[in-house]
Formats: sequence, C-alpha cells, structure tokens
Amino acid sequence: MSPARTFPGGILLPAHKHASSATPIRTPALPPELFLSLGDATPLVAVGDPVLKGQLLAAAGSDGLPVHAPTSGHVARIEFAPRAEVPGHRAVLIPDGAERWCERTPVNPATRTLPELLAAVRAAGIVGLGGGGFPTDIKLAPTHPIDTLVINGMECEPYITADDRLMREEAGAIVAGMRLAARLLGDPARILVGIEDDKPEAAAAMTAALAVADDPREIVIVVLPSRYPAGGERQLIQLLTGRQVPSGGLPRDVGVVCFNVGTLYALHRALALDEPLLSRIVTIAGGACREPANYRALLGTPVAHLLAASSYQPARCEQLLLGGPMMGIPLDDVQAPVTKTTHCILAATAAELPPARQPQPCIRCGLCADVCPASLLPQQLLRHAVARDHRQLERHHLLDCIDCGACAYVCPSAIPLVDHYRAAKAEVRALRAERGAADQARRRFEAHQARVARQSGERSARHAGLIGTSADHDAPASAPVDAAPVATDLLEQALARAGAATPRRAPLERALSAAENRIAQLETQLAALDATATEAQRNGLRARLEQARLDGDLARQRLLALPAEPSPTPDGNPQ
Amino acid sequence: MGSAEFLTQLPAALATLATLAVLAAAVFGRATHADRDIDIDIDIGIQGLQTAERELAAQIEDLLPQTQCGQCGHPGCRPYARAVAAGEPFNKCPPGGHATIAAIADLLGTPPLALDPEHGREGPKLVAYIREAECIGCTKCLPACPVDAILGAPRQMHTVIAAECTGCDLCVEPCPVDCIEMIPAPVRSALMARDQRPPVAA
Repeated sequence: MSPARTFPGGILLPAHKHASSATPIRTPALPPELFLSLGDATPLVAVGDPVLKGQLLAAAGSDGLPVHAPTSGHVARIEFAPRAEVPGHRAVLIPDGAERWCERTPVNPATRTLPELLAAVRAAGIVGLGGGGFPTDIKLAPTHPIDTLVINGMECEPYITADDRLMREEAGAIVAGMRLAARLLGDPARILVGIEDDKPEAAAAMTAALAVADDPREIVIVVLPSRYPAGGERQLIQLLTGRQVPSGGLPRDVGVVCFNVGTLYALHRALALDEPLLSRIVTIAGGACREPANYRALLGTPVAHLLAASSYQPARCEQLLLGGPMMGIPLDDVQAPVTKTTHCILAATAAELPPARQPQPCIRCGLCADVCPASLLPQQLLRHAVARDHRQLERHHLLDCIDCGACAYVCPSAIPLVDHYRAAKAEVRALRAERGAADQARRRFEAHQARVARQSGERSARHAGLIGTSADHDAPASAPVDAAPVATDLLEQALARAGAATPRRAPLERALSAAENRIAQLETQLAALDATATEAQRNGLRARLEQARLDGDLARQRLLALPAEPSPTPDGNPQ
Repeated sequence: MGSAEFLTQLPAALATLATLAVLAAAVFGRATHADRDIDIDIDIGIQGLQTAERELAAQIEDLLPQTQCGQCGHPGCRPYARAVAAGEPFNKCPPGGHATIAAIADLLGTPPLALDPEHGREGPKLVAYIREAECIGCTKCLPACPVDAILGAPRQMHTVIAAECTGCDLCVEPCPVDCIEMIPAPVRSALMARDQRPPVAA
C-alpha cells in the first residue's frame, strides 16, 4: 500500500499501562459539587435554579462552546475562580443524586441533513478529547477536500489507558461515531485507524465492531509499534499516510482529518442519543494510587474526588501531574475540576518520577535533536528562548513544537527544555496578538484618515458648487465618494482641486492661531503644576506642548510657502 | 590624469557615487559614451536609494506600536517611520519603549538609544476611559481619536471601545469637562502558571 512510513525522532518508553488497563471503566459516586468553568459564555440560569442533566447552563461564548449541566441538581453559586487553569468565572452545581435528564429528542442521524448534524455537534459542545480541545464541528466542516479520515487510538504516553479501555468497551459506539464523521466529511475514500501494538485487546474489539458494522468503505485498522510520540496528530498522519502536515498548517491541508476515539464516541452519543458532552474517561494512575483505574467522570468533578476513589496516598506522591508523565503539568490544586481535555491524573511516586535534577549547561550532545519528532533544533531553540529572541524562535519554527517532552527526557544535562519552549511559545503568541492589534490600529487609522479626507473634500465641494469651477485632475482614488448622485460631478471636481490646488490661506491661519492658543494654554498649565505633580503628568504636558509647537511651525511654514496673493477660492462660511 | 592626482582626489571621490563614477570614467578614458551610461547608472542608483528608503520606512513602520499618538512629533506612526528611515533618531516613541527601539536598532544595525525623555516616558499600556456620568455628549473627543474608537453622538453619552483604543491620549485634551482618564489596559491574555520560565542552568 505504501513505502516505508515513519516519523523522525521519537523514543521508546516503559508503558506502565497494565495497572489501570486491567479493570473496566468505573463510574464514580456523584461528587458533592461540580465546578463548571464558564469562560465568556453567557449564563442562562440564576443562582438557586434547579437544573436537569444535560440542560444548557450557558450559551456559547467566544470559543463557541456551550456549557451543560452534567447531572441534575441546583446551581449553588457562580463565582470567580482565580486558581483555575484559565482564571475566570465558574458555576458550582450541587447534584441532587436523581440524575434526572432534561428532554432529549433522539433522531436517527441517517435521516438528517449535514447542516442539521453539524448544528447538533456544535450544540453538544464536543471538542477533541485527545487533549487538543479543538471544537469538533469546525473540523467536521472542512474547507478542503478530505480523502483520508485518520482515527487516533494510539495513546502513546505511558500510564494513560483511557482510550484503550474505551475501545475495549465501546468499540461499537466508536465505529458508529466514525461513520457519522465520515459522512460529515463527504465520505473520504479511506479510513485508517491507528492503534499501538501494546493494545491488542482494543485492536481486536475494534476489528470485531467493524465486522459488525460491515461498512463498504476501505477501513483499515493499522497496528503500529509503540514509539513515543506516535500518537501525536502529525506523527500519526505521517505514519499512516506518509504525508507531512506543513509547518503552521493543519491536517486538512494534506487532505486528512484526524479524530481521537473518545471524540468519536462523544459524537455518536450526541447525534444518535441527543446527549451533549457531559462526561469523559479519565485515567487515574501512578504508584501513589492503590487502585489505578479509568473513570467515566462528569465534567466538573474535582480531581480529589477521583483520586479518593482510587485510594490516593498523598504521602507517597512525589509529583501530581495533570496529564501523563511526559506532557503533564504540575497540578497544585487537587480541587481543580475535570475538563473536556483532562485525560489523565498521574500521582507518581519518587521511584517513578524522581525529582528534577539541577539543570547543567548544555554540552551540545545533540540527543535532543535526534529524538525531536518535529525535526526542530532544540539546542538553538533553547539558546534563543533564554535570550528571548522571538524572531529567531519563529524562524526556527518554535510553534511547530508539540510539547512532547522527548528532548527533555533524553537530555543528559537535565535541562527542562520543553518548559522553556512552552513559556517561549506563550510569549511568541502574545507578541503575535500584539502585532495583530497594531495592524488593526493601523487599518483603523488609515480608514479614519480616508474619512477625514473625504469629508473635507465634500465640504469644499459644497463651496465649489456655488461657483462651479472645473478641475483638470481626476478625483484621488483614495477618497471614495458616497454622496447623492446629483452632486457627484461637483464632488469629483472639488476633490480633484482639494488634492491638486495649493492650500488656502484661511485654514492655515486658523491652524496657526489654534496652535498658538494651545501653546499658551499648555504653558500656563505647565507653569501651574505644583510639586505634587508626577513626572508623568509633566512629561505628558511637555509632549503635548511640543506637538502644539510643531503644529504651529508647520502651519507657519506652509503660510510662508503660499503665493503672496490669497487663493482665488472664496472662503464661503468657515466653520 | 596622474596617479598622484587621483589619490589626492580619492576622499572626495568616495563622497558620492557620481564623483567616483565620473572619475573612474576619466581614468579609463571612456568619457565620451560612458558619460551617458554613468548618468543612467546614477539615476538608477538614486532611484534605488529612494526605493530602499521607502522599503526601510515600511519595515520600521511594522515595528512601531501603531498607537498613532504623535508623541514623536509626527502625525502618526508612518510619518515617524519615514523620518527615521531618512535619518532621524529612533528614540522618540514612548508607547513602543525600549523593545521598539531595540528592534529598530537591530533593523538598522546600529546600537540602541535610550528613550528620549523629551517625548515621554515608557509605561504600561493604557486605554482611555470615559466617566460616563460626567460626559455631556459634546462629541469633541470623537474627531480627536485617530482610530475612531470612541462611540457617541451629540447630547448622547460617549464611550471608548477599549479593544480598539491604542492609548494615545489624544482624546483627553479636547474634553471640556475632563471626564476622560487613561487607565491601565485590561490584560488580554494572562500567562498561565504553566507557561512560567524555568530557571536557567548556572
């Protein structure tokens, strides 16, 4: 089917998956409180309101994601959560234990049109559950023709078994979700399912489910050797199709869309059963938990609740991570809620994740470059990240770093490379946003100037209309005219004159006297500043004074440059 | 022309491209038809220089914060960029501050300058805020805003669209009731705790 397909770099890691993959997915008891981050979504319920499971709590904000009640109960409070991953407001829901559903109206997806299905996906608030958190409805409405749908069942990071368990237990629903996704994507020619070779049970379950589904399309389950980070979206696409997603691009640029198996499961639940995304599978793992397992956790469940269900022993925990051992970030607050992208909580003992060694200087061994799956130059990136040379960082494609942590894992000097890159990426993104804002300001300034020019043109046109002088030049293209049709000719003539003729004396004289007035006023103000005035106030006044002087000088120069005779244009009724 | 004479003329000849070219033509005795070529060369040279200056101005403009505040003494960021490209000192932009000065110095290949305090001090990004209870709806601040970020109509309360405000300060002065103040801009994207920098190896 293809030449040898591989991705650059990568490392072999001990899997540590058996502890949590042996037991079926557990449903934890309802937690006493659920914490639902609202972002800038608009709340539709008030404090004290009773809510039903699946009820819309807040209408989608700028991220396009609505917030639903994961269970029935009432809204205890809406509060500010400064310690959250993204600080903002959150709703606190106290479950009543009844799990009463709101009204659901399941419709056979086969009878619905594509726009209806897309709207349903959006309303269900589904995002990529593999960790990316990208809104699924956007991925399902591709702008490019898609010939390959890639299903990600790799789960390459050690300890994590959420997708493994889900494939073993819900393969039928995943396949149903896969077929819905394929339909929404315009029936791509082939569907490739990537599963790592350390999950034979999952591969077998998926194969069986596919046999039952009996889909006429080319659907291939590809069992791939375990190599971290083979489950990265770009790496998996390269492994399965041989295509490289371009730097700064998206999989759809090479005709591919990739979904995690958990996302497909949620898609099936949303479209076939009319259930919004209310829960997800979370792996609780690590030696500091006596019973590592996977949980079907309601969104908003405090992490501490799941840890307690797994007999968490804080005393043995060296590092508590949100995520796996490679990409996880330290979790300071065990009351932090499960979100749509929480796939693992790792409570690692000191034997599993020893405390970070003191970083030593880089010895240029080059191991990091060997293992980088994105073919980046980690040494160069580190140098530029430390120097905060954002231009060089962008030139070295920092933003193509996928945070996999392979470089830091192999570094003999124990340099936390990926932490440097993560910080640098945040800075580069902030700078880009700033640059975007500056471009926007420039566009608005140019639009403002164009409008001012047009309005002054229209004003002189009104004057010109009285005497009807003709002009030799065309109206400047930069000054569009949108006056009544009758006035158009006059306007054009006047605009042409305004663009070509020498400036008139009266406006310049007005500008000069205005500047002089301003100078006098500012000088008085400056003199009146007493000792309590701040340096900033003083400087502000001085700068404005300087500006006024410059304006005055400019007007004076222009006046001197005018021909001795006043301009022949009558200065009708100056404003 | 003797070589000694040539050497005495060398400094002057280096002063301009034109002189050098004429001199070279004279030395090699190609004056008759070479003159015309030289003229053309010079024309292209000067045009090239002007183009280069324009391009440089555009590159400088891209580095400026686009506040359009006029604190540099120029009516907007583009005129300042042109002036800098033509040789004016590039330390007159307080909103851009040291970062902008360093970026321009980098572009020009010269050492950075200290911000000229004549033009103001570097500070946190500000936005204008209209105390709406005091606003009388005079519309005087509207034309002052270089980016049309103030919303209002005669005898209606005005307000600043904070997301579009560049913090240029130009609307403060025209207000007859002094109801506009500059407040720190809301933080667009707070760095998350996990995006903090790790310590660097000793």
